[in-house]
Amino acid sequence: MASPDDPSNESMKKTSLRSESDDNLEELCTVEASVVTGFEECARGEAREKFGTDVQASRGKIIWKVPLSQLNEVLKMGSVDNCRVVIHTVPHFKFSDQNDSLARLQKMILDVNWECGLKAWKRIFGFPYSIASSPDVIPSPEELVDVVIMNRQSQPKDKFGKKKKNLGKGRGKKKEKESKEYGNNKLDSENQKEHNKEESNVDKDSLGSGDHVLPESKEGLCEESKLGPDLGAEDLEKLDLAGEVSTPLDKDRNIISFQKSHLLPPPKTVIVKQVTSSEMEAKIDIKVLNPPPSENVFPSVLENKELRHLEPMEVDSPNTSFKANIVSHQKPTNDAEVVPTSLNAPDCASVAANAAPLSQEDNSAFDSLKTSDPESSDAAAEAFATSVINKLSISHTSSSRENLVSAVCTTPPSTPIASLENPFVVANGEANGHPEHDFEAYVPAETNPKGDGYSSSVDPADFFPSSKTSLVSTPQGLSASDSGAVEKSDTVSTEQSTEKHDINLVEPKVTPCDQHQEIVTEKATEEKRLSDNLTSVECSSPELPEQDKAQTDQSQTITAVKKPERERDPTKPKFRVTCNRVGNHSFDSASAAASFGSAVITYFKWPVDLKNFDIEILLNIDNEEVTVSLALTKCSLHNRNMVAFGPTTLRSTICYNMLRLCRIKKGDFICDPMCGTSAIPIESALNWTNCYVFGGDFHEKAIERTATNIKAIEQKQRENNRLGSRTVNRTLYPCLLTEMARTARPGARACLLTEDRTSLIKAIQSLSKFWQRRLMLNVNIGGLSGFVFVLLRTTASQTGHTVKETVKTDVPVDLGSHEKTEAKSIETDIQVSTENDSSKQ
Amino acid sequence: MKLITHNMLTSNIIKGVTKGFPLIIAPTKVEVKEVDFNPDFVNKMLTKIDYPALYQAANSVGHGEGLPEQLGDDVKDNTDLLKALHNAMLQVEVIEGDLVCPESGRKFPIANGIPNMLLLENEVET
Repeated sequence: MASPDDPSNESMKKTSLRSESDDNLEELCTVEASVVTGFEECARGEAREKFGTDVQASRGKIIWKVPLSQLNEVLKMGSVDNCRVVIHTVPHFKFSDQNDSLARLQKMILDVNWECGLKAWKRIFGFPYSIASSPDVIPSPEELVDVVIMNRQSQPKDKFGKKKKNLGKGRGKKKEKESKEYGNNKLDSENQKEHNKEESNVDKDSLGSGDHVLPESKEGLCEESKLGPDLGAEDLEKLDLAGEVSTPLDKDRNIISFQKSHLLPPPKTVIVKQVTSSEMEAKIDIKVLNPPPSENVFPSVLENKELRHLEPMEVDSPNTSFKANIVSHQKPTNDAEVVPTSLNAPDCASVAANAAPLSQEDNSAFDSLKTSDPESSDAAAEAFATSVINKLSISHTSSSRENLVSAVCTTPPSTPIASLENPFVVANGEANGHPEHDFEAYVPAETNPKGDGYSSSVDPADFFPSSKTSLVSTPQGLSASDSGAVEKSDTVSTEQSTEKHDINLVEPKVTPCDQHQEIVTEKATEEKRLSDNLTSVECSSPELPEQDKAQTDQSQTITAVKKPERERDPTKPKFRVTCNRVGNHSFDSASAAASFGSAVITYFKWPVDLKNFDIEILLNIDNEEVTVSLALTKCSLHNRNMVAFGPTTLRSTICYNMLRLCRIKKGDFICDPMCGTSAIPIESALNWTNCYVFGGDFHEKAIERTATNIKAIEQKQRENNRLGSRTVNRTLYPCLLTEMARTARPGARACLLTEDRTSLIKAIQSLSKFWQRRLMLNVNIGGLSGFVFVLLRTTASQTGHTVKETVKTDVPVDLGSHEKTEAKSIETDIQVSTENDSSKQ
Repeated sequence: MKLITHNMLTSNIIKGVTKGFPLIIAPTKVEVKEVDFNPDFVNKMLTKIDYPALYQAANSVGHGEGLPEQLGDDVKDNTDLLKALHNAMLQVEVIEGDLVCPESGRKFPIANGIPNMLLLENEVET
């Protein structure tokens, strides 16, 4: 079929001059679609069938060229989650230092094929006004450069860990670094230094490398969810995750980040911007200014018993989710073991190890702090932070932790749930009247438009038993799956430095991105606005502490900072930049997104809106390759057909791919004996209309949910928990295969999905007389490794069953040697999705 | 429960039962819901179902009109017959009632159109 270089394309273009619009609808644009890892070939097959053209597949995505006229077909594909149109690629960007890289990224905007991208975008979304694909006056490259560097502070969770470490080693150490405005920095610096000395720490060399401990889950996360920023080594310095992210999924991301990051959480996000103009009163660099001596940041707080439990930073801008996480980290102190649910193994261990020595010094430090002279804010800050940590580490019981954790999980979601872009969430709330813990997590949430890459999936998520309730109840499937994935302590490893996936949804700093001239004068107002929205993104300045203190109970969400004060030009589309970064770079995704966003503002003058945006620009940095694309899906396609979710609901895209593997033909019967919420039957009924689908389940709830889902589909149209255990599987799988063999005719195909590969392989081997393995795929579902098996029923008969007839056909099916049976063409496909995971402990 | 589904159900799994097909339908509530007619599909399905059982089932729920006692060979082009078959197989639904095992008498209740075929431990052949 037509390939981009095919001369027939030219003729196509010539002959299809439509009057519909000035667009040449046969113009090809490059589309990239994300696919569940493992199913790329499947998706590729679908794309080839639908579009008749060559399709490239790489990990987690497929790429091919689509004429504008067929763009809408892309969104109807069953095997892909998210789609985007690629408008620029740089295969070898040759990254260098931070400033230079970011500046070059900004300059790159001139090379981006906005025209094609915007045409494609318009075909899908439509916009009342025309959007110029380039400004009237094209800025020079120099004008575009306005590097924005985001410094995020690590999560309190790790902060604890780190602090504890430090404390064990002599917390009285002062660091040369200037203390942060809230004095928290001191602690951070201190911890950072300590941290840097620790071998188990993050790879410091890779600035902003997304870290994380769980590279595989990272990947899963990256692919399937839009995550908040990952914290890299440099993030140690000043990270405040909470502040930075602005999305509906902030909380979730925070939770995820907590679990992922092992870095210290400095209290506030500090925006470091190196401006060329001199509007900033002083060069703001990474070091935050000291609070003025008159500012007594700590003592008053101490009086408040409640606040004592908070991290110093929380005093200023409490984040309930942080709180919970902090609390949750207390556990390690209680037992020497790493609590698998929360921390990275290495950190936990060290945390736990240091827990003991801390407690003794606790009170003394505390007291000393009270009496300390505010002038010696550094020492005071340190001591205070230390004592607070101690308090925190000791004072919570696991029950309170549970409560808090659940609280965390349940509270924040309300925001995302209400999100407009997430109809599923709402629908779920209505349709699914069983707000049980186990079943709440499946809110598809993905809408996460902010999320880069792939939407969060309501996937079978891996839940740690202890945190099961809390995490599950998070409406965002993303968080559930991510947390689950992240929480695997076995996979935690801080050493992984190469595959750091750094996803960041960042709003280009409004402040830096605005006209620079305005910054100085507006900063105060800006900050006020910022602080109103509560955000940890702040330009450091002496005034900030006050403002921040003022806001106490606001969620840490960086909302679109542009408040109504600015009138928005309705003719300009709102945009956001989302950056996914994999590899070692001198900058982090937050900075990249912010910088690129700043360039976009300079170039197009489009307003920024992290939540209610029109255009989402994706900046994907995969080691040396940089790709700029425009998102064609606001929310992932993967929960398209589901309304009611259960603990094992599969993403529709996974179901679709599994069904494809079965090569269903017209008139086939499709049976899912363990259908749960009927994701598979529904997907098959919708896409293979010439077949008859059976679904069954032994659980009442499943039946109810199935009924709900089907009703919803019928009304027209409009998603990970894992159940089971390996021990159960050892008996279940052989039984399952035997039963399936009993009811399947020779030649029937079965497609099974499980995490418990070994059990299934054993079962297949022991029943090899009846089932032959035809295909085995490794798929990545929400960070968990799943295996898809396609089996073929042999012609062997089953002994032991006196049953002569099983599946009814016009010829008595005797799984014995009835020749009649074999003479008929047999096309019964059985699809079973079995999500089985052993709980982690 | 559509009659085509009923055509696939058997109680042979119960201990001691060898002739568990077809299950006897004892309906209390039957509905006819419209389904798009697809002749190819109907034809394909005919090769997979047990026609006598379908005939018996359709009559027991009172919707056996138009169905011959035996199927001839020229069904493919006989649109009227196909439509009648389509109706019986896909449109007639038993909403409430019971399925009864012809040998053991075990009842499988149908609620909300969904038959509950779950057996107790002691009923299943080990």
